This record gives sequence, structure tokens and C-alpha cells, in this order.
Amino acid sequence: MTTTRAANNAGPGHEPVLGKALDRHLLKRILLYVWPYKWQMLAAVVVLPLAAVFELAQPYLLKKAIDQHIAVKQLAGLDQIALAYLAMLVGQYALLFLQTYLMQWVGQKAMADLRDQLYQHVLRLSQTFFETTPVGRLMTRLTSDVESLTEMFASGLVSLIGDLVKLAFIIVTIFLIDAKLALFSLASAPVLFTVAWLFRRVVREAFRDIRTRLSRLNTFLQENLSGVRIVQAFAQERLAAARFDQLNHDYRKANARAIGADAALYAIVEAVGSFAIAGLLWHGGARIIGGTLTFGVLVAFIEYLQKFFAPIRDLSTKYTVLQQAMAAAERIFELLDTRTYDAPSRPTVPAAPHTPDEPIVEFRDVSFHYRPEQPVLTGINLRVKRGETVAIVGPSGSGKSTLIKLLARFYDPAEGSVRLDGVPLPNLNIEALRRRVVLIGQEPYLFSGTLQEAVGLGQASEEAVTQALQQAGAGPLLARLGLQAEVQPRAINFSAGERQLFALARALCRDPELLVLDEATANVDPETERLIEAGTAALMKGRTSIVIAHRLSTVVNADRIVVIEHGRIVEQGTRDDLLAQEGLFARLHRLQTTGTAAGAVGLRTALFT
Amino acid sequence: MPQPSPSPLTLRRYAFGQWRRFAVGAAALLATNALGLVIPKQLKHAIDTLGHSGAEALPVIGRIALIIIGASAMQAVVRTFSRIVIFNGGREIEYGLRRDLFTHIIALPQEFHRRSPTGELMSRLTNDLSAVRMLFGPGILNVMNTTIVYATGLYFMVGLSPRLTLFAIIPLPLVVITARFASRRIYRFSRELQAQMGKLSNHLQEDFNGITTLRSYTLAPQRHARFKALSDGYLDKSLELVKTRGLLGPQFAIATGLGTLIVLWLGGREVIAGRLTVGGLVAFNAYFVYLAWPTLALGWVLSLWQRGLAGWQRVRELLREPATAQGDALPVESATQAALRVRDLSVVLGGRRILDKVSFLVPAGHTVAIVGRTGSGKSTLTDALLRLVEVPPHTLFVNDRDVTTLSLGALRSMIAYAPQDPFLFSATIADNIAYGERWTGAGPPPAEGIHDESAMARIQQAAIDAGLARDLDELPQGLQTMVGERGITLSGGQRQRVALARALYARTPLIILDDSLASVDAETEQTILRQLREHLGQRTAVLISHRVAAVQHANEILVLEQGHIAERGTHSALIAAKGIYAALYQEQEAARLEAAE
Repeated sequence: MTTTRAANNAGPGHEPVLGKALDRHLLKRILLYVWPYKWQMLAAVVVLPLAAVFELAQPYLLKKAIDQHIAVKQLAGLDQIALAYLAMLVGQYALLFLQTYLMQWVGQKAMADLRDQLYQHVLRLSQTFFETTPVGRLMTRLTSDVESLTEMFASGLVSLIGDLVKLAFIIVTIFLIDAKLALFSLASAPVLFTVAWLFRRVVREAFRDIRTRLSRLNTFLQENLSGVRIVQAFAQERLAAARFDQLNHDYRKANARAIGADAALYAIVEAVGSFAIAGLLWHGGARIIGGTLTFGVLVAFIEYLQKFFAPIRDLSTKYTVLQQAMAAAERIFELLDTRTYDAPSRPTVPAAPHTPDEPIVEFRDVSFHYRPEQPVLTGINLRVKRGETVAIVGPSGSGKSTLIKLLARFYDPAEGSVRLDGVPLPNLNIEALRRRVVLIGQEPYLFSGTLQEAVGLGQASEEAVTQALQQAGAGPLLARLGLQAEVQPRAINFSAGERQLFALARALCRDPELLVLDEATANVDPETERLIEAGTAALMKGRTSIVIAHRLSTVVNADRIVVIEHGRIVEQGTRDDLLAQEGLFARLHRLQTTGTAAGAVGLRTALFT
Repeated sequence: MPQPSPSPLTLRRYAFGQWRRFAVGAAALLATNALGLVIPKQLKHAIDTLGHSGAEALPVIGRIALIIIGASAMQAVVRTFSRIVIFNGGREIEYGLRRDLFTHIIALPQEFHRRSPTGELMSRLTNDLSAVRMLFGPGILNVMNTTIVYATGLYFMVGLSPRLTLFAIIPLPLVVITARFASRRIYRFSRELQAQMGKLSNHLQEDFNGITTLRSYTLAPQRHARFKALSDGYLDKSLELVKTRGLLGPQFAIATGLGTLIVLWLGGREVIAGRLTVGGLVAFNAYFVYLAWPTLALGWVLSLWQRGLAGWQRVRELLREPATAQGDALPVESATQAALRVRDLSVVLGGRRILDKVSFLVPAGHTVAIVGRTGSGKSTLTDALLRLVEVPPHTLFVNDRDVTTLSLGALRSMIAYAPQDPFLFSATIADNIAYGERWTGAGPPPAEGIHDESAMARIQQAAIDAGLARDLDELPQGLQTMVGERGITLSGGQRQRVALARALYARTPLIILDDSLASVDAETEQTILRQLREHLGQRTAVLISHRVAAVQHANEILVLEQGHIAERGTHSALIAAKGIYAALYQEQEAARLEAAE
């Protein structure tokens, strides 16, 4: 579990972009996901040449009909040829449908697997990763990027393989019919490949540009929509719209370049195809006059040439799909290759039996930093006895929140160790650890669903949830709403105070051994404040608790107070000890009490941060 | 299920905006196709010549080849042009729609934003608009092309053999019927699929935003199970769509194949019967092939069309969201003072009466404080003052002007606001503080990250007033430090103070502080409060606070209870009245005594 931020801090405007339309390495990785469905895939691929044979037999039948029947006015046998033609036609499309369905089925299945793997992977990534990666970007990976890859199966990759098979078959067929004429017909092929190559170069640049612009556009959208309240409160809708317009405009401009390249490619391929027909006509015409060529062959060649050029003409569509898929694949695999994991889940290492009077929690010489040049915690030594309540106080930014996050092992210390019952945290199974330790943050996050689901988390019975809600002080609220009340994402349909109460109830349902609480500073009214205070007390009762205290009552009721400043423990002891020491705590305390002496009692009791 | 019929009026409005482009594009397409018809015509000529004459035919064939080459070269130029013009037309429409949609959404009332997840809106502004664009770019091109190709192709085919033409096009109506049927299914599945994707997105958003909780409570297995169910649902719907689309494509192909078959079979008989030349048959087949491509593409165009319409439906739903009714943008912007008058203000939200006949006066330069329990309506009152919720006419007056007769911009640019939840943009701290800076609307918007000297001085001052001085020293680039997604994460207290600085920076006559000091430590709080009082000397202020330290010096304190004002008066008057406020005071006094024992 590393804590380097550099890996993920490329801004949203600098999304990595890949130029290559077909990267062998990426393709190989994609194919790994297809592997479980290899038989279906194989069937789809086997069908391809069959379909090509059916398709390419049609011009041949046309040739036969002209040379043996129509040109020589021989009606007998034409019906059979027509019948054969019909059979080829039906066969071709039946196979094509089968192939399309199989291939898409494989693609959809494989990509659903990939999405699932990606989801599980992301959920295992480190806390630092989540702090430095925009949620919008993660969602793009799991939704539109996976979609782009699926699209590749639908219309890119396989039709490309199909086209290649068809091109090869056409070349073979026309050489078998008339090698000289075939050679002449394909004289234009080098021109085509040059054009396609040039196109690729232009378009690669253009796509790079498009993706960057689109990414900026999306970042802006995401942010301004989440912060729309501020945009409106400051009456900056017009400015936001103007800034958006610039990004939108840039995006459109970037697209114009790709459109130009695409239009030119399509038209040039089409023209080269016509040139080939003209050449064929001229050369073939001379041979018809010389009697070495039949009309039927000429007509069949024209048909074959048209079938030859069509896939090249549509190259840009496929190229776009492939290019987007590869870019998406690269981003997806980059995410999959991110190895900054959250604490791994492995079995608890057996440890020596623990005596009850030893500390349940111990910080031993713990230092921590997010960035090496900015130490957050330095040389922390702290022992918490079973059943003890420890209040942590200190100015904001002193490292308090980080300290408690180390305890739930959201981070590992850079130096020293954190121990639970004498066992270093890395030796404990992470799920087991988190079942024993519950962390309640300042702004508790509630999942959507019913109240029962949001509080019980699908792990507690209705009775347990009801009881927890009542203990937490949300009894009246529950009586009014019922357990089936809807909780929207982030519980935005509830007030900050109500959210706190729900979070307390949720923790009560969990019944942890050790409670780690970052007291909310959110403004709530006195009555809710009282409820929260009582709820917190209920939760802490009989439990070892470490609390970042913002309420005076918490400080007053704590067995011990630990004062942190600049990432170090500067004072600790009971309140009276600390007041006697005349240090930071005493100063903070005085600020509070002189304030009150002047009559300034906060409606929310008092505040230590 | 709604019928897949577009809302012609509005969608057409966007198409008509590009009518010149599409007209030019159509003309270019016409020219492209006219040139394209040269080939079958010359082909017939060539084959007929070859069939009837000997060696003298060779120069004729040479000339024909040259004509084909010339026509194709010209066609390439016109074709490139037509595609550029039309595809860019689609992009222009996408651009315009996206601009309009964003401008519309960003100004929609808070009530709308509360019920619309960001992910959902994003998806409409990107995926759905893409679908609409495809409808207009490739969609329109193909529809125009198909029309032109059919009209010209059929004309020439009839010229060669009316009988054969009639037979050759027999399969086509069949196609149209099945296509209609299939396209309805595609439309339905597309919408269902998009809706399922929305659910999946929302699930992901919740997981990633709530990752800490998810971990603390080891929820990964059950969240994963739920994700799997949503993902599987998406898979099933995708496969349904694949099946329908997979059946639609071959139908068109078979129809054209059948046409070719009829040309071969019946056309062969015609030639044998002497009613058609071999050249004629070849040319006829060439025309038919010429029709075949657009027909083949019809399946694809239809699904584009359905996807585009499904996307448009979703976009239109947003565009039809009613905007807040506005008055005119009258001149209050120049006001240096603001007197506030609230008269019998009632606000009903979701059927609940949140504010009930609230009345109070705040003379210019005065400070009013509002206290009350959660759910008492304090936040709604703030929202009402900013008109983030709608207020009835004749209830809210600024400088004796009914706010409903003002534009929202005019009203809000008089107010600086520091909210409970300090949202910051991913920009520099300086940019965030100067966020309220007015922009004239002329020319390009001001560049981010750049402020002139006087602005920098004011930003600095606001930062100091908000108690940020020490934090700035510790940040890597001071005021120029990037915050949010592209920069560092500030603590809750720091964010709150940046938000406070943002409100202090704006030189507005009215300032609303919605408990802006909740996450700030005691020492800093003292400093900020001292500076805040100096600051408020010139500004009318509405303080919503839970701290008597901030509230007690207010000119008037209002106690809100269940949406109405239960008590009002100065601190001392309220204490003397022995009501709710006095009870709260006593209770905290007791807490203080206990703490100070």
C-alpha cells in the first residue's frame, strides 16, 4: 500500500490518449477476457469464411448466367442458376446473423466480466487513490470505456477480420478466374494502401485532440453541475455558460479535423474504385474484342471490385471504433494495473495471547506522510486501555483525522506500527479488523435505499435497526417516517443532524469493539445536538472509544485527553492535569471560557477543534 | 411506451438553424449522385459497343474509360465537400444543443437539481447528445442520399426496362414494413438500456463517493452483488437489442440480394427474348447495385434514428423543465446598500409548509440573526432570500423592490453567500475566492488563474479576514495552490474559510452567512469573528448561526420554530422574555459552568 500521489494526479484535462488503432499487446489482454467464451468465438470466426464463400459465389453465378445463358440466348438452366443464387443469398445472411449474434454475445459477456473485474479491483484500491482520482473518471472507466470496448466487438474487430477474409478470398477468386485481368484490376491497391496510411496519421492526431477536449468538457460539466448551488448563488450562470461555450467550441473544432479526413478518405477510396472499373473496362474491352475474355467475366470482375473496395471505404468508421476501443482499453488496463491497494485481505497471523491489562490500541513510534516533504504525523506513541475513552484535541490540520484513519488501516504508517491487542494491524485480517473497529467520519456517508437498508446495511434485522435508531435518538423520526422511508443518495433528503443520528444508529447495529469517532462539526440545532450527544454517549457506553472531540462535554467526560499539534502529541493527561500544565490545551480552554465569561455561549455547546 | 415520433417543432428548430448547410450539402449530394450515374450509363454504352462491333470499338472504350475517370475524380471532390458540410452540420447542432442545454440546466431551480443526480445529467449532456448528433450528421446524410439515389436510380432503371424495374423493387415495401416493426423494438430497448445504464452509474457513484463507509462496514460483498445484478440486467437488455438489430440488418441485405436475383433471372429472360441488350442488363444491374448501398445502410440509419430520437426525448425532457420566472434585470446592481423587507412569506415544498407567514425588516447596515431547530426553516429562509426556492410575489423586498420583479442575476449579484456546505471549484484558491467577480458578458470570459494586482490585493485581504493567513503560508503555492480534483485536498475547516473568503470578497450590499464557522477551531474563530464585525459594519447581514458569540450582537435575533417566527428581539430582550431563546441560553450557560467548574 503505497501513498504516492504522483501516479494519479494527472489532471482530468490530461487523460492519457493512445494513438494506435490496433495494439497487439492490448489486443492480447482483451482476448484473455474472451478466452472463457472461446468456443462461441471460434464458431463465429469459422462462420466468417463460409459467409464469404456464399457471398463471393454470387458474382460467379452471375458470370455463368451471362456467359452460358444470357449472352448465348440459352434459356434452359437459367432457373437453376437463379435458384442457386437464392440459396447463396439466404445462406450468406443466415450465417451473417449467426456470426453477428455470436460475436456480440461473446463481446457482451466478456465485457460484462471485465466490468465486474474492474469494479472489484477499484473497490480494493487504496484510500489515497480515491482521494486523488475524480469519481467521474472512475465512472467513465466502468461505463463508457467498457461500452467502447463492447462496441469494438459489435462492429469493429470482427467485421475487420471478416473484411480481411473477404479481401483475401476476392483476390484468390479473381486470380483463379483470370490472373492477368486480376493483376490489372488490383494495380490501384498500392494507391489505396498509401491513402489509408496517410489517413491513419492525420486521424490519429485528430482523435488525440478530440479526446482531450472531450475530457475537459466532461470535467467542467461534472464540477459545475455538482456545484450548481454556488454557481447560482453567485449569479455566475452566464460566466459558467461562457466558459462552457469555449470548451464546447474547442471540442467541435477538434471534430471538424477528423470529419475532413474521414470525408476525404471515403471519397478517395470511392474514386479509386471507379478508376479501377474504368481500367478494367478498357483493358477487358480490348480482350473481349480479341476474343480472350467473355462479358460474364467482365461483369463478375466489376462486382468483385465493388465488393473489394467497400470495406476499405468504410475503414474510417471501423478505425474510429477501434481507435476509441483501444484508447478505452488502455485507460481500463491502466486502472487495472494500478496497484496501490487498500490493506490486503489475508488471514490473521496468530499472535501470543494478550493479557487484559495491556493496551487494546497502541501506536508505537508512528510517523506518516502523504508526501515525503510534508510529514503529517511524527513519532506518535499512544496506548489506549480497554474500556477507556480518549479525546483527541488540537487545531485543524494537526493530523487528528489521519491518526484515526491509521487505526482503521485506511493507511499504513511510514514508520512504526499500530497494534490492536498487541498485534500489528498488517497481521490482522482486514475485514476482521474493520468489524472490530468502526470509524464514524465527520460527514457520514449514507447509502440510498430504505431507512432499514441505510442503517442496517442488509446485515441487521428490523428489530435491531429499530432499537438502534431509538438508542441513537432517532426514535421520533422513525415513528414519523417508518423503516421503509426512502433515503436518497448521500441522504440529501435529510438534515445534517438527522444524518448524524442515522450514522450513530448504523454504528450501534454494528456493535463494534472499538469506536473511532470524528465528532461532527456540522451545524445542528440544540435539540438535535442534545440527541446526538445522547446517542454518542449510548454508543460509547462500555466501549473503548477514541474520539476527535469538538464538544466540551466529550472532553469533560473523557478519561484522558491527547493534544496534537503539527503532527505530534504535545500534551496528554486528564483535563485537570492539562489545565495545570498551562500549555496549548489550557490556552484553547481559556479561549473558550473567556468567551463564555463575556456571555458568548455557543448554541452548540462549545468547540474544540 | 411513447411512440417513436419526434417532437417535430423543437427538433426541427435545431435542424432549421443549419438549413443553409444542409441545403448546400443536399446540392452537393445531388451533384455527387449525378456524377455517380455516369458509370452505369457508360458501362451500358461500352458493353453494347463491344457486343456489336469489332476492333474499331477500342477507341470508343478508351474514351468511355476516360469519361468514367473524369467523372469519378470530380465526384470525389464534391463528395468530400458534401460529407464535410453535412457532418459538420450535425456537429453544429450538437454544439448548439449542448450549449443551450447547459445554459438551461445551470439556471434551473434548485428543486430540479435536488432530484437530478449529476451522473444522470452528464449522461444526457454527452451520450444522448451524441445520439442526436448522429441522427443529424450521418442520419440526415443517408436519408438525403437515399432519397436522391432512389429518385435518380429508379428513373434510369425505368428508362431501361419498366417491367424489370417493377419486379426488382417488389421486395422493398416488405422491408419497409418489417423495418417499422423492428425500429419500434429498437427504440424501446434503447430507452430501457439507457435507463439501466443510469441505474448502474448511480450505483457506481454511490460506491465511489462512499468508499470509506463501504470499507468501514465491509460492505464490498453486498454492494458487489447489487452491482452484479444491475450489470447482468444491462447485459440481458443489450443482448435483446443485439438480436433485434442483428435481424434487421440482414433483412435489408436480403431485399437487395433478391432484387439482384430478379434482375438476373427475369432480366436474363428479357435479354434472351430480345427486349433488352446485355449492356442494358449490366447497366440495370449496376443501377440496382447503386440502389443497394443506401438500402443496406437503411438498417443502420434506422437504428441511428431510433437511438437519436430516444436521446432527443431525454434531452427534451430537460429542455422542457420550467426555468424560474424572472423579472427584469433592473439597475439594483449599482445599489451600495440593501434594506430587506420580508412580509408574510410562506414557502411550501413537497406539500409541506416550511415557512409560514414570516415577516421581518432589516434596515440597511443592520445585522439580523436567525436561530432555530433543524427543520425550523432556517435553510429554506436562506434559500428564499437568494431565491434558490421560489417565493410568492409581494413577500420579499430588497430596497422596497419586490424581488420577483427582479432578474435572478440582479438579485443575487447583490448578495454574497457563504453556505453550510463549502463547495469549491477545482481551480486555484485565488480563483475560488474571486469567484463572485462580476463579468460583463462581453468578449471572452476572463482567463482562470490570472488576477490583476488590485484584485490580488482584495483576494489577499478576504483570505486574511476569513482567517486563512496561516494556512496559506503552509500551502505549497499560497493563493495559487490548486484545490479539488486537480490539486490538493483542503480540510473541512479550510474549505469553509475559503468559502467565507469568497463571500467576503464579493462587494455586495448584503451578505448571508449560513453557519460558516462550524468547522473552524476556537482560536481561529475568535480572530475571524473580530474581523467579521468590522467587515459587517458597512453591509447588511443575515447570520444563521448556532453560536451566541456571533448572534448576540445582532440588531435583532429571530427564533424560528416550525416555519414561523416564535420570538424576536435583541439578545437582552429575549433573555428577559424567558422564552425558547432564554431556555437555550440557560442550557448552554449550564454547560459552560459545568465546563468551567
